[in-house]
Amino acid sequence: MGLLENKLQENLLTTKVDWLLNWARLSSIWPMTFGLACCAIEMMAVGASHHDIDRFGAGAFRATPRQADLMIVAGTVNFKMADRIKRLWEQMAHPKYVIALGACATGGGPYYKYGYNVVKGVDRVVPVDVYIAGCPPRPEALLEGLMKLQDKIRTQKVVRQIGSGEPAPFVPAPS
Amino acid sequence: MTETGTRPAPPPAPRPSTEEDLDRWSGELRSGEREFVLDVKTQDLEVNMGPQHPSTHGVLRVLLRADGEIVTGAQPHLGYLHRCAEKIGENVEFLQYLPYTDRYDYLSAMNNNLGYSMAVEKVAGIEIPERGQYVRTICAELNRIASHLLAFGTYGLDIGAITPFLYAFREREEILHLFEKVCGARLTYSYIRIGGVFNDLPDGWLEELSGFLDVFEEKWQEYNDLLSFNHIFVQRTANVGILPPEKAIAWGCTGPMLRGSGVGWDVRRDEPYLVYPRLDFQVCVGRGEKGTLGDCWDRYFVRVEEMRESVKMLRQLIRDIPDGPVSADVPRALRVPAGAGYVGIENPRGELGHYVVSEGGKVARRCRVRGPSFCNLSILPELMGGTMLADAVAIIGSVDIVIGETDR
Amino acid sequence: MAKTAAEVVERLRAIGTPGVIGLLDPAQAAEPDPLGRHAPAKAVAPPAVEKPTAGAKPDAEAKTPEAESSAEEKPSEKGPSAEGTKAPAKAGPFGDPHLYVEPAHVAAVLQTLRDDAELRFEMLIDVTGIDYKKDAPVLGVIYQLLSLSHRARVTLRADVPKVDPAIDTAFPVYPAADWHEREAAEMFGLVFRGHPDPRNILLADDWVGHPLRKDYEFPVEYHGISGV
Repeated sequence: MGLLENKLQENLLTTKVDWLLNWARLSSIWPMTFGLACCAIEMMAVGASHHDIDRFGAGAFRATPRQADLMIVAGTVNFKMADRIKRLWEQMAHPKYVIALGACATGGGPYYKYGYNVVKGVDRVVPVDVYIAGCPPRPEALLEGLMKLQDKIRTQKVVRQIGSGEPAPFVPAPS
Repeated sequence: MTETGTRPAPPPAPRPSTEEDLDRWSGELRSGEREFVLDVKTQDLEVNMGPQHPSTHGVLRVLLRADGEIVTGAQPHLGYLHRCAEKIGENVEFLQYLPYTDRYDYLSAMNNNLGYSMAVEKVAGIEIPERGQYVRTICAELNRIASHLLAFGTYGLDIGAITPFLYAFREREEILHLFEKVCGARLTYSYIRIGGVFNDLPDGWLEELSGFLDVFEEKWQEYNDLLSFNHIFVQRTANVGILPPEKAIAWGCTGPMLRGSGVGWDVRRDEPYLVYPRLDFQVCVGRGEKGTLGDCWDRYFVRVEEMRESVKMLRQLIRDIPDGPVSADVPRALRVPAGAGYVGIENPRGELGHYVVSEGGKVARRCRVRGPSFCNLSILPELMGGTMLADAVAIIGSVDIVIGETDR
Repeated sequence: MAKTAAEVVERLRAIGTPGVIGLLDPAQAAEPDPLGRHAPAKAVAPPAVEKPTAGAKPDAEAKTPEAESSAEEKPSEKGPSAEGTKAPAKAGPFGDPHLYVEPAHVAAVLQTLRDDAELRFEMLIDVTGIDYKKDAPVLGVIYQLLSLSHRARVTLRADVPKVDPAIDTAFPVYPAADWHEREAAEMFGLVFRGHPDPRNILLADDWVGHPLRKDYEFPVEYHGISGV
């Protein structure tokens, strides 16, 4: 998670540094353009002027995963695409977050029962931070999900010692 | 297995390989360059465009073979959004399948619902009441405007113009607001159902629609000023991706792809359904105004003109809509008698066809969806051979694909 | 100028195109092997009647031998049922008549349909397969054609046996068939002889099975990702 991770002991200064770093990160979460299906249209609507995501600092959609902080998986994930999603997620640099937008990314969606080619939730492929329900979710729901993610970032302890300092290994969600 | 396909590529630009060729090829070369040109052996670069790419309109992967800046081969690879729609159609009841129809061409969900409902009604022999037909036509045409707005906006975005996208979405939000009043959903409506529509229009909706149309007509002029006749846009899209009409017909292209090449075929006029026989509208065809007939600009402008025609149609529909029921008396657990039928309607992207085979029960035996984007995309290797890399993006944008429909 | 399916059949027969068996009415078109050409145990039925529209009462007797096998799946022909299906105003069967052709001659029929001056079906709209039932002996191959000049449509059907589902490709006649046939091949296991590029199009290259067959088993896992 960066050079500062777990390097300092807890004290008043580190709390302020935490706050500053977290504030900087949550105010400029740059998503990757990763629309898969119908939810991508609502993501575009969020990026447009009516529900403006840029006021949250998250309006700079980066096409390349190397420059993005957030992967909004907007749409149905299928087996053919799952390998690519995994690769894209691995190409993103830490700290990185994933929002599962919509019913398909959350748990397979309407294609759960007879979709032989559909992965039942993107959390079987990459770790997800926020799940947003809806089919497709309203743009306001996506903005609320973004705000939930910001809350999550706000509570992160970047500089303090946490355990051994190793990041936890990714375990896919049980099927 | 050859990833780069077996289609013959256009002949590459001639490169000098001998001293004599080099003399003929160029005049003055600085010292050292002659040897450089003769010794350097280049090969074509294979580059993946997609499946994650800002300009592929979804999860489309195009395997490009590029000789420097010139594209020598393009192979679209699909299937990254294959969601088994046809298998689901064989396992759920007719009405339960309707939400899945929304989700293949998610930009024109009303038209998808319409196509499927009409196919099932054909095989079941159901007749729709008059007002139901008018409401269906209104929703279909309004959805056409919304879909073309997005096509217009994202095409600008692909070319590099970001403002038209924001302007298009401003109007699109108004349309989605209207749809939300009618059926509660912004994108995937499931409003047009087998037998008619789900419920009647709310009070005051037609007046609101009328007000929107007044505003939209001024904005249409704004879009043209902003993008269509913009010098840079015309330079990027005219004479690019020229599709001759015979090729378009042979490869099964329909919709603005076909009309952009000058072929005046529109299912709404030539095999009319719903209320279209009573409407007065023009079929927009490309004329090769800015470049050659059948180039990207023609296809784009057909879509822009169709928006204006849709506005004309909507005004006539609002004026003439009768009163009455909006739906036939169709049970939810519908049993369709054994039969098979195909219905093709004019989707904003082309001809959307549903071939429904019923075995006499509640579940279809086969529900085949013929997506227009699937057929329109198959011509991409033909269009992209020999163009520049930057034009590849313009060509893909002008085909106006929706991957949900290509992959189903 | 052939506009209806019956006129198309008449014109094809007049020219002498091989392989045209006849016209199926919509209810027959929904059944596997409606004329008993592939199932050895059934009695050979009289040839299909060529009137596709609503007064199809004489057909009911003609197709009864085949209809028995699927009678348990067609209760709605009796009229309004207990579920409350409203009887439609005109009598069935509804849908499109299908032009029934022999698979061996499909390419010749398509060529004639495209080139003959009175037919002129310039555009191929769709090629697809259909698996009627789990134990049906045939797979259907369905072609949808459109004539821009005559404003007409026709649906063709050719049945291939499931044990050897091979049919000639329509690519030389209609290049539009390219991708459609690739999809039909991977979904049903149909083999289109002479197809220039028979790879999977929608499914992954290492996909096992043909999903749209009725006996397809859904995958349990794929590349380490669970499918249940």
